Amino acid sequence: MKLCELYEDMISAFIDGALEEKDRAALMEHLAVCPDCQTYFNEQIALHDALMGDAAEIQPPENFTADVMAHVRFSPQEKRRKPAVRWPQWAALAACCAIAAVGLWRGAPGQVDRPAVIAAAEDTAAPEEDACADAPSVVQAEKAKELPPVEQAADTGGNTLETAPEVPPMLNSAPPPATPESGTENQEIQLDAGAGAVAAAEPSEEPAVPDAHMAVEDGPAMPVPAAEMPQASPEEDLTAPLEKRTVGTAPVSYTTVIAAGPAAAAWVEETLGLPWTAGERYELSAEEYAQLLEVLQASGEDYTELPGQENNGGFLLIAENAMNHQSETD
Amino acid sequence: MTVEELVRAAAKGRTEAFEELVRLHEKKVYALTLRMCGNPEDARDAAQEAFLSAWRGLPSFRGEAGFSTWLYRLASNAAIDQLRRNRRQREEDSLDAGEMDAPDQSPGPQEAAEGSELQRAVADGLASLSEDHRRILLLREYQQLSYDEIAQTLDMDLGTVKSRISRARRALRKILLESGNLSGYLPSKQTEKEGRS
Repeated sequence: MKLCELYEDMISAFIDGALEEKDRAALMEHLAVCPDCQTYFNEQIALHDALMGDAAEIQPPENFTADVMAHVRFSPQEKRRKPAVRWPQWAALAACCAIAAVGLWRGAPGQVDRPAVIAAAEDTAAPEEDACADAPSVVQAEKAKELPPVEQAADTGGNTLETAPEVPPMLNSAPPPATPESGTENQEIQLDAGAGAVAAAEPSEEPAVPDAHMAVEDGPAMPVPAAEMPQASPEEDLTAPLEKRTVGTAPVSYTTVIAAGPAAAAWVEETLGLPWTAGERYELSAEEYAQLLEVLQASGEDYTELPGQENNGGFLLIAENAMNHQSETD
Repeated sequence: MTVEELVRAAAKGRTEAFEELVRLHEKKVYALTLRMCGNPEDARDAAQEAFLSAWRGLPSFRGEAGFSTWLYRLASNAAIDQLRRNRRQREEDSLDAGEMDAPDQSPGPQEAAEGSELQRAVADGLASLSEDHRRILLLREYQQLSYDEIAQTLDMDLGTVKSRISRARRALRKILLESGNLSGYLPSKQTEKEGRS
């Protein structure tokens, strides 16, 4: 009977304590006059009791916990999430550009002689996955070598892009885009565990460079090929000491928040549509930054805010890994 | 330590914290996999797999859903995977033997250590339900998840959860009626149990 099916659904919800008050009254009224539904009700209550009784009596096998732990002790935890699908293409360009970038943005603004840059980058890029922990030192070591040839390559001329170049969020070794006003002390390189992203690179991916740059305007936290970066002002101090680079320090030219907690991670995944990875830097619009702060404050999680300079280059979220510090030494 | 604290510690690699989490949840996880898989060997494997997945994935676990809910989802998936492996194996076997596909069902009568006849019958009946019905009924009755938690675990909306549980109950009742375990049984059991009719 179709009508009684409705009541059967109500009976099920009633058993689970999920029946709304108004429906409860209707159900009781109906049960008072419908023997079929009374039977159904009694049967379902009995089944419910039996199910719970059965559940209560099931015991796991002996030594179950010990067996699990024996496997656990030989089972490594996943240190970080797997990269998102879109990583390979721009992680690749990020890698080669990261190496080039340092020299590039210290050079003159304008067009880069890309082939030369890329050639120079290729020599030093392509770190292997295992070497990603060494990437910071590798990149630093290469910088000095890199600088002279790249400078020449970069010095071609006056087409400064107006938009502030944005930092590839996944590319911690790339410097932040230089706004004309910002001094060189702002351009600190983030070389931390996130450089693991760089490791996925393959030099053959360079042609993607121009496309990735375009993407910057469209979405949050899209990588920008460093080759586009030389919008560095001509006033850039090319002799700024390379030693300023530090691991894990946010560039002062960004307003930055460092967060680690689940709320931040959830926000990144839902709002930015990106995977949350320890050590990553996510570039945010002003609105996103404000939204994120609200989320963090509401959640009560710990976070640290680093105000940018007066003419700061943008907003950044750095994903600290509070859960598994081991990953930072990868 | 609270479950949250245990989870945080375990995510950092503290095995003793994880061991505590295993202890806290092993009974329910095993109950779920046992009634899903229908036999202790598969149940044990699936339950173990669930905990191992949890251990491996803990550093990435964001904690939006509660830990238990997440764990039961892993357990339910592990059980389903196990059932799939069994089904494929049976299909291969029956193809080899030139038979038609056997319908998906668990190997045999359930082990219900003690408990009433109805409990035993219910455990058997569960095994005859479709996987979907079985799983959602177990999450509700064995894991005692709320409708909201079930919706989260199974990526379903609330309305679907409600109606599916109801249909699962209807199906279970039908099985028990057909096997003669329900009709005529109830009134006296009610009387025995509660002392009134």
